[in-house]
Amino acid sequence: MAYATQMAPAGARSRSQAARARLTAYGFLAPAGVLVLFFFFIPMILILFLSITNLATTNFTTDVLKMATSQDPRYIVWGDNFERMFADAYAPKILFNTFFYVLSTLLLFNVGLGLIISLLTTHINRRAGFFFRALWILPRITSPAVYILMWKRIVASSPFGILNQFNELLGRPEANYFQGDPWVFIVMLNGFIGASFGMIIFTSAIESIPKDLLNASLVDGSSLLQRVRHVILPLLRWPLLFVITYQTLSLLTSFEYILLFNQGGAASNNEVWSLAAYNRALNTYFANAQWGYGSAFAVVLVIIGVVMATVYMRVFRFGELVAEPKIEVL
Amino acid sequence: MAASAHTSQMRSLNVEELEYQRAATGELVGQAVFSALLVLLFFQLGVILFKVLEPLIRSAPGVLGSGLKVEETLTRAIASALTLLAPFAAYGACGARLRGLAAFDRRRALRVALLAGAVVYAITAMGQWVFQVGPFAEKPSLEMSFEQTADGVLITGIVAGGTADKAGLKVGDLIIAIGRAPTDLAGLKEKIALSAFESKIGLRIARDGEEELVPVEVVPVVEIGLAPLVGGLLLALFIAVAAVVWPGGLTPYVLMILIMVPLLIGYLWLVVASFSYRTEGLLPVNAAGEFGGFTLGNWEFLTRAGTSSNPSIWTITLNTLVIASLMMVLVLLVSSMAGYALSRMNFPGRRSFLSLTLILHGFPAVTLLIAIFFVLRNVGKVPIVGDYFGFNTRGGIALVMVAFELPLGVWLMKGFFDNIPWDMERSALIDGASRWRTFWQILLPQIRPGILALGIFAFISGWGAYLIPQTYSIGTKTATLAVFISQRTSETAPTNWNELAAIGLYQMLPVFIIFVFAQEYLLNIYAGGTKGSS
Repeated sequence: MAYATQMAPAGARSRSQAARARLTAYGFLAPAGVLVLFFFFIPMILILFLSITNLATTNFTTDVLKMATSQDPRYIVWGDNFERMFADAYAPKILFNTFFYVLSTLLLFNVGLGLIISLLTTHINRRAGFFFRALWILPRITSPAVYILMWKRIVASSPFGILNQFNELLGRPEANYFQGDPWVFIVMLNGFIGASFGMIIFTSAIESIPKDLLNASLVDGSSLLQRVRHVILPLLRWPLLFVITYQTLSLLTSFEYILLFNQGGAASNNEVWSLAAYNRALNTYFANAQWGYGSAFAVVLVIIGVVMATVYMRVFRFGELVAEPKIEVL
Repeated sequence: MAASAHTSQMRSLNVEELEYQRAATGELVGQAVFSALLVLLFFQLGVILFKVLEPLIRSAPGVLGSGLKVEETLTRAIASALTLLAPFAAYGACGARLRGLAAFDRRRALRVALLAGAVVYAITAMGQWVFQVGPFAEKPSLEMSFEQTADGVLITGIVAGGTADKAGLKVGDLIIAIGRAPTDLAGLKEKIALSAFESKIGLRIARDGEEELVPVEVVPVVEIGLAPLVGGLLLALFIAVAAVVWPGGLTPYVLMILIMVPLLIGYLWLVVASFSYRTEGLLPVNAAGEFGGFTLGNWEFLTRAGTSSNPSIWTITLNTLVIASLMMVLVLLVSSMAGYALSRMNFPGRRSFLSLTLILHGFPAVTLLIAIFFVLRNVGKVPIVGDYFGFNTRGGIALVMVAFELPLGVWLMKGFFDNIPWDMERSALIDGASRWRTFWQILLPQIRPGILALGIFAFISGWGAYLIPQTYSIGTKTATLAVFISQRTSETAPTNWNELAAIGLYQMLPVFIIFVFAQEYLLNIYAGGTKGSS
């Protein structure tokens, strides 16, 4: 701001100069703008449009304009997809699966385990803590394909499965984990990746707690559990809220690992909403691709995504980031 | 004395010591048992909570107006894990209660811990007896006794009205086979132990010189296993005593490693499998199924020549490298330019572009995959551009991934630029340098750590990417290593797991090496940038 006033005498700069400065700014933004236009805005409109069409393998076309302008009843079916979605025999189950998957992964792993790891690693030797946290990042950088390969082998049937090898050692009967308990493993394998997000956020929050506070409670003779309960947790309120909201949204739309693990299982047993959209529209495994119907599923998530992202970005970071730029005029 | 080290705490420690000395042994045992019972109660509440949740979850789809049942296993798994761990936690808590005493009088602490451990074990064992778990568990049984003879397994006793009685077996019958497979005593016992309740075992018996096939139902019978009872008691005492002398500093390490067991096992398998002929569980085995079979044969894929339908690993690696590098360069370039403009310039629409970036940063881009399929298809129709950035091209795949990482990148880059004092830049601008030149020559060199971090992050996510290459490519023309690996697991032909493990390790290696060297830069980015995945 100071510079704005300093420059005031020169404020009578010609309009062309100001226009050129603006143009430079837009020039710097252009590549990002084009990508956002092509891969966020147009798709957002497109998916709304697709959801009112009955585009499928049988009447496939990529000519969106033709579809839109011809008013061809072969394509435009208006609300039919949504009616069909609400009447879908599997939809209640998929909806319930989604809630169950998001809540249990979020509470047990992304928040619960993340908090436990960050508490444990901040109360041991610094270097050791760093080492353990680095190990927890490993699942995140492992390619999904390789990561799922490992888990499939853990749950495989005898004699190949690792869990079943332990069963054999303990003299217990063989169990079919892949078919029998897929949810346990889907939640676990997603949770082991998700935990590291909370871990990093919580760790930096714990480390930024003033040492005086912890020392004071130490002098008062508190135990570790008492310090966690009465000093650390109350100070983690905001990071907790942030992790919960952000991870709810990303869990709601993350289906990659379920897709790789069992494609959602037989009879949609492990299908979540985002996977349902993907399976109906893009999965080549189910021969008949129904882009229109899949889009109707996706639209629900797009709307939830836009609303939630707007709300929580306003709550968390907006104020801090819209500060005025350093060099206003030059 | 421990107290002498902390003179400031001496007074309170002395009071504590006095209290311990005054307390009778019975009183101390009582306190230890009490804390163990509290832990048991806590665990039991957890079990009850999850047991209550289970029928709720089961009934939920019905509430939503559909008769479909949800197979719910997670709550059950948690409840049984809690049940399993409860006694051990109780023994531990019982011993931990006496750690204060151990500071003054170790022997007495151990004595009390042994006593209290035994009491707690008796209590838990009684509880288990009531609920028929642990050593009192229901075991599959045929309700008869038998012994090995030279001709076969002789039935020596039958419970009246039991399942064997109902099936028509009599004392003196000779069991010679299960179904068609001849059996001995050990084989028969194993078969029974591994059978499910209410299933039937077909016993081939010899009676008066005639053979007969008798199906007998397996029923649950509560037996008191002496070995688990004694073993359980010893374990309880051991845990109680160990908790007294356990060095407290080790607890976080042990807990940490326990939590990580599934991960460690998974990665261990990956390494073992890639160097062995076959694996059974975690053990490498050879063709005959015996321990051994170490081989480098799984790595032959590195030297195999490619064909048009089955490209060599190097073609795939090149694809992956091109996509990852392209992604890295584009993410850096585009987001640093936009970040610069947002950090340093004022222009109409700045505020809205900034809030847009923030909203997009939170918005889950994967929901747009279906629509982007059509965008890429249409871009593919554009002459020249379409050949490089359309559907089923490396460029197109890279562009989509760049766009998905962009909100994060722009946001991070703006943060990096904001932290740089603008004196140098301002003097450059006053001296007449263009904005572009200032950006390129003055500012970019100053945010090198930021560029390094974002670049590595983008490269790693491009290298391991699965979903987008899988969705927007056909066949193997643009397949990345991740797509290649998953294609080989889903083929109808039997999967060569060990070769896949080797390919997986090969795919992981570069990322792992980069990660080891750059983890300090990366840790913070992963907190801000986890789009798409959980």
